[in-house]
Amino acid sequence: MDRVAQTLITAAGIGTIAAVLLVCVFLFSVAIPLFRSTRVEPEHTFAEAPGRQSPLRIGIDEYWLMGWSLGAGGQLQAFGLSDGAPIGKPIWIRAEDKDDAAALSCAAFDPDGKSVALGFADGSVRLGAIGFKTRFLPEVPKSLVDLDTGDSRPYQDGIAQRTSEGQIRLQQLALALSPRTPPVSASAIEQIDFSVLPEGPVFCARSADGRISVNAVHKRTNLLTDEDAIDVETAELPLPEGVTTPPRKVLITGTADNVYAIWSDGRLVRYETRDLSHPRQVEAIRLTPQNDAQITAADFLLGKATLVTGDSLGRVRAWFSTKPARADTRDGVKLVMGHELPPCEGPVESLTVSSRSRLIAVGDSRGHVRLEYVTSERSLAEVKVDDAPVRLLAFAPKEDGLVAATDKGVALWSLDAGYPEVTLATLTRPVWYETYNAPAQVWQATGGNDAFEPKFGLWPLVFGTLKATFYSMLFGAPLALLAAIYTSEFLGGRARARIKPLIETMASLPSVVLGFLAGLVIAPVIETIVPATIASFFTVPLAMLSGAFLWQMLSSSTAIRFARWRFVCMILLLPLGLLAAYGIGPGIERWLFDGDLRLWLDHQGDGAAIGGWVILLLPLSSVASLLFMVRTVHPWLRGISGAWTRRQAASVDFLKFLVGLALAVAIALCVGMLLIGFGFDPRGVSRDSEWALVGTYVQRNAMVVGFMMGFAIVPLIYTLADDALTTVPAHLRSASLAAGATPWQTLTRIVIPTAMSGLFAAVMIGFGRAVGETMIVLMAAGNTPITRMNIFEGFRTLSASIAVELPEAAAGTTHYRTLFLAALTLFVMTVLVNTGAEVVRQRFRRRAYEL
Amino acid sequence: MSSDPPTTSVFEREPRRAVWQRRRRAGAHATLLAHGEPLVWLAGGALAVALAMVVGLLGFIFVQGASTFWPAPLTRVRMLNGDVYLGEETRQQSYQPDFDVFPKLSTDIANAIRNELTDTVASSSSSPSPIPHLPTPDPDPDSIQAIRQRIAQGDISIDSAVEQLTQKLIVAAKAKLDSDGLAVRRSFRTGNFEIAQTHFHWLDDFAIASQDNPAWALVLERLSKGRFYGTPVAFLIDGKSVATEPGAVWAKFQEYHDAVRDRWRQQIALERDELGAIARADDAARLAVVAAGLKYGLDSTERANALAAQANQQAQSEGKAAAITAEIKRLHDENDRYQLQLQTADGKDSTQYVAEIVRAYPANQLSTAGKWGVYFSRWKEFLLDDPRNANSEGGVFPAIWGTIAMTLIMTLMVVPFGVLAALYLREYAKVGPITSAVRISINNLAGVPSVVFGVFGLGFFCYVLGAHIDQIFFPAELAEHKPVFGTGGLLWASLTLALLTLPVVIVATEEALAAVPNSMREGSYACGASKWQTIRRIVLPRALPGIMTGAILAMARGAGEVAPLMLVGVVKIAPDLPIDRVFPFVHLQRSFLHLGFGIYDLGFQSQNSEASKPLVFTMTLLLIAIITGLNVAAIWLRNRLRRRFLSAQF
Repeated sequence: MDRVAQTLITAAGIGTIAAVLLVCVFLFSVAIPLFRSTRVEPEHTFAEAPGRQSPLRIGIDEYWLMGWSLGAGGQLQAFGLSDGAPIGKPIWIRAEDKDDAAALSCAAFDPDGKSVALGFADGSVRLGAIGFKTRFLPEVPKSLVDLDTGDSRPYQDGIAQRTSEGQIRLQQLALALSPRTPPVSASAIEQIDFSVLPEGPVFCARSADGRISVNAVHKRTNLLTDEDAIDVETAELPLPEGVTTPPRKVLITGTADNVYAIWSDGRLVRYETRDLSHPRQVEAIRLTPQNDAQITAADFLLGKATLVTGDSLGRVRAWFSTKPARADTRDGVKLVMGHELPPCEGPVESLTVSSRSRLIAVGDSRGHVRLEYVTSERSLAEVKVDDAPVRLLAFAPKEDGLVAATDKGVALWSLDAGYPEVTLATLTRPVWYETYNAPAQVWQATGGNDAFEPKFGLWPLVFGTLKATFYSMLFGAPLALLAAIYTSEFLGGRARARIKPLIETMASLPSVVLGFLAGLVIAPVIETIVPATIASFFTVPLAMLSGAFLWQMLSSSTAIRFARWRFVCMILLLPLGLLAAYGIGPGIERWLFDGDLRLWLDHQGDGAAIGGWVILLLPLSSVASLLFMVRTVHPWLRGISGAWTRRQAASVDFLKFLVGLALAVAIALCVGMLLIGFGFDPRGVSRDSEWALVGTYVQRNAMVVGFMMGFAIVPLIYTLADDALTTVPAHLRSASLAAGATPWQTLTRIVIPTAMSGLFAAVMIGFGRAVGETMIVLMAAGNTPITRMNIFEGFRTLSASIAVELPEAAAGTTHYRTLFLAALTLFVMTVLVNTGAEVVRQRFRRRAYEL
Repeated sequence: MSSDPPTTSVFEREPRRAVWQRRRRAGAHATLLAHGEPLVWLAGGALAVALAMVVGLLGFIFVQGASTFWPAPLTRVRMLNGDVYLGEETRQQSYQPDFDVFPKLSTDIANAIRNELTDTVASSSSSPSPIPHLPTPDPDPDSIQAIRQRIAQGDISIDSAVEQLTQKLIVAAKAKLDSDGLAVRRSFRTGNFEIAQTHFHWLDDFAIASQDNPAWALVLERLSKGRFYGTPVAFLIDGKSVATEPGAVWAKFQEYHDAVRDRWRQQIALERDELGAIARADDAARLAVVAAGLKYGLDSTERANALAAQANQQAQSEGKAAAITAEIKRLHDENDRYQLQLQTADGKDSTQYVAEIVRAYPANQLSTAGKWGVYFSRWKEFLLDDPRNANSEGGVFPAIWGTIAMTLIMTLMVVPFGVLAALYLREYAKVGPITSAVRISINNLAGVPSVVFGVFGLGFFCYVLGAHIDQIFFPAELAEHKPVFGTGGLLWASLTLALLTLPVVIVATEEALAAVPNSMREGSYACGASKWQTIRRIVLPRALPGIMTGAILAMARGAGEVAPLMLVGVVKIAPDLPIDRVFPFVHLQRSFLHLGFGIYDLGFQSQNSEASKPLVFTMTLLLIAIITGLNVAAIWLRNRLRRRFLSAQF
């Protein structure tokens, strides 16, 4: 029995403790794969490109069974992916479904890999999609009965495969093209690009005679005949002056408002085409600023906002439009080079973009293929096809494979890109996202459409967490420490026994309750009385101080007789202080901020900056004034007060307090003026100033959170601090008091120095609690991931992001793992703080024990 | 003591001595300073602030939460511009009106007066139609009657009459602003959402012409669409009016309402229990087919058998379902015969099904007893019924039930393991750096944010453990993308919270074990007891109060946590309770409702958060009551058991 119990308890005990450790290990194990490298494995190679012509484009299906290749002459051929053997007969794509119609002259694919625009020799265009259709056969055909699970076999111009559930899935090539448009040029179209807007497709084309046009396609239904007619609204784009050669490439952005014409020598001309009746050239830049290379490849990334170019020196660069404050272009937009990726060894030969992310594959003339991620500027992997130039590259639809074609053959790789958008650098350093004016640290995990690029910068969240903690501690820590000091040193035993549990009940308030009150009750109320709220931070302490100076005026005997009423007076002074704040709040607003504090905070009102400075500087200047008093006035008073009565001394002291107060205000005013003289504004230079402590007022803000979080951390710090103070041995106190020290002297010179480490540990543990608090910040902080210190604005913390976003993040995605990383960050932060506190506390205990 | 380095450093630092020397020739002022009165008062002030925070918060929640269900009187407000509102006043505030409020108001008033005058002049009917916007004491020269007379006599044109009157009213309205130009406005809950498209109206005090409390104004609380306020016009049975006097209508309504509600309850019970059971059986048969297909192949005999069983089941359930549906339809049709016709304050007619009405009362006629009746009936509904109208009204019973079930299962899991771990640490493990490291890490774990545990729970319990359980035991559900344990649920939520509260139990138990005097253990060993016997007979009973306290504190902590639950199984709407009368009674895989999450969801995610705010306060009060109750129980238990053992100590 005994041994059984021992084994059981030991096993369960160790198991429980192991389970606890599992938490940490598991968080690590989920977050760490974010940083693993990309895997590329060769799968198949076959000697000759299917279709026997140099292909314009190759596509493969999502099950890795078959592919298609589009030849330069318009020959569309399906083939098996394992051996490259053609499946079915080729389809010839022409301007019309007749054998003598005009032949294909060019093709352009959307980054999604399916939508296509085809240009023909007669100047007409067809739009559509090339892809696969998948269907499940209702019954298993005889020829496929012996097919095993997972095996595949050509069937009816497609490939059939038996799924794990026993059904037969048939994949066939699917081609859907619109009827041809009326010719947009007299000669063959040699370059084309398109975008599909909700109103209809828009394409730009460069014809053999060198003219560039942009065309909007409208479909009209003839009411009489019920036939669809396609007409095209065409606008010709003028070539820039002095240029006679036609551009090598024309591209149109995803919103169809810009057309880029790119020449081999690196010249890029941007046309604004929002209004087709007035297209205009707005910007001309060089894609090779040193003029040292030829542009050899250019294409849009997913979303068609970022242009990726490759040049003859092997460099790959990404360009996108920004809206800087001062742009020298006609539409205020400037095309900039946002990223330069690690260069290839040889001249860039071909380039393809993924349909899911900002991943690209670059092929060079020496047969290397390099996988790179644009936003994180990371080179992920490099493989070698053979020695011939890589003519063509394509990604598999799920980004799980890569096809490369050279003149010698075709090679396929399976690909596991991992999490290329996340690196330590993108998590912690500014990243230049497309259309942003400058590199920035952004957290924006989900967006409206497929082309949205998730932005995982952890800094805004960490900043939000620290901001919440900072303001909460600013409010909560002094309050809790002072309250604990008063409780342990000045409160009688019975009052103490009642008050302490009352404050400790605050600890058991669920944080969701605090969050609800903060967000829905306190925040709207405070919003209407901002000046009074600010004033109360001054009036309440002032009320207490005035109370103290008045109390001093009592004679010693009266003071001792009424000692038990002292705390009651303090409690009564609190509403008095609050009332005073409420009374003078509007006055302050009128007097210092020209009648509207919130307008002033928003950089709009006429109020001068001096009001803000005075309020911000007052705490500091009070300390300065106090120091001045202690250094100069106290010794002087001490010298001359020898013969005074207590009441006289108290009156002088009160006078001194008033003078000190005036002095503090004066110092704040002077320093404030000085700061304004140097051009500093408490609100910062603009609304976006990061380190300004005050600024635009938002209903749910750090002040509200700081106040409400006080409810969560005050009882914690209070209890621990009170414990630390009471642990100070009684004989130390007795000795001090017996030596003639007042309780106050005993406190400041004996008790606090002894209990210092315990108090410090209490504050640390409060800090740990504030860091991880979720519901209060979730409900009261507004959850905008901004990085501004402004106390009147909200923020988004790590914990709130996790609570809101994790249920929506699919397991295993970048978002999911990044949130685990956020949880791990929180975990590490709190563990560090708590371990530090624990170590300090152990030392304190040991010391207290020694005493 | 002077040989003790830390003490000496406290007493004999250089500056201290300097202070003492200076004090010798110090006067009254220095004595004063020595008491540090101002700073003592600052400290006391901090304590006062902290106390005010607790007391204020608890008091505020208590008042708000407890007053939610008190029936307020109904006020009919006639505005100067002719609009009429009927509703319960909810709050008031003073604000700075827009600069264009008065020009707008004067146009509105002018239009209203003109309509009134032209109407009466044109029709010249003698019936004194109630003129909503004008207080009309008869001798007043500005009363409508007087003006009408003067217009009839040709003394004054309509235009100038309108202008004069408007001018006068606007001046009066402006006089209602206070000296700072601030206006008072009140928010009225006016209900009638399907007509007004809003639940609340802010009414400016200066724009109010008159207000009264109509005797027969009714409050209807409905199953959906929120409250309805109006005066009864008729009671309809089969579309025919059987009463038209408000008092008679009200009597009829009371006569039939209980029976209608009973039928409605029967109908809901049939739908939920009987039809639910049939649907469950059908589902089970269908899943059996899928499972057989997955296990034995699509063309196996097992699958064929399952298919046959399914067909059989379906045939059976169709018959049963038809009978039940017919019964439901009968009840429904019977209920649909009874309707209540009401008129809103602005004169629109509206007909309400009696079955839709949960509770109705003539607010302005309630006696004190009647008010208490409504109050307690609302509390009863709140505690015992299901929510209605998108959780914004009705009861929170499922949330209470979910909270209790989760907390209980959590306690069942955390206490044994916590106690075993503490026993191991305190009684079995060898004291050394490892145990102290483990202890520090357990202490540490108590400080880890709860949301981190939620992340772990979701990632490990749901996506790793749960997914494996599904693969082994529920392949059919998995094939249909309806994971059973692979998603949040009661079990995972309880486990997550158990992990979260484990440190509480371990620390409390360890302290309790440490408090058992070693002399007792040694005495037990000396009597020849083995280690386990000593632990079981001597140590554990004495540590029991501490362990119980730890368990209750863990419950209190667990019941109030929301952040981790948001990740591992709490939902807004759950069709079934996690513990119910259906075999196997405890459904560990089900997601559940939770009071704390309800507060978050209703307060922040609901579309009509203003209307549901009082309910949120009540939920808050309930949650705090539960948690405080648990805490008080912990303290009481600790004291009681401690006293018992103290007296038994030798």
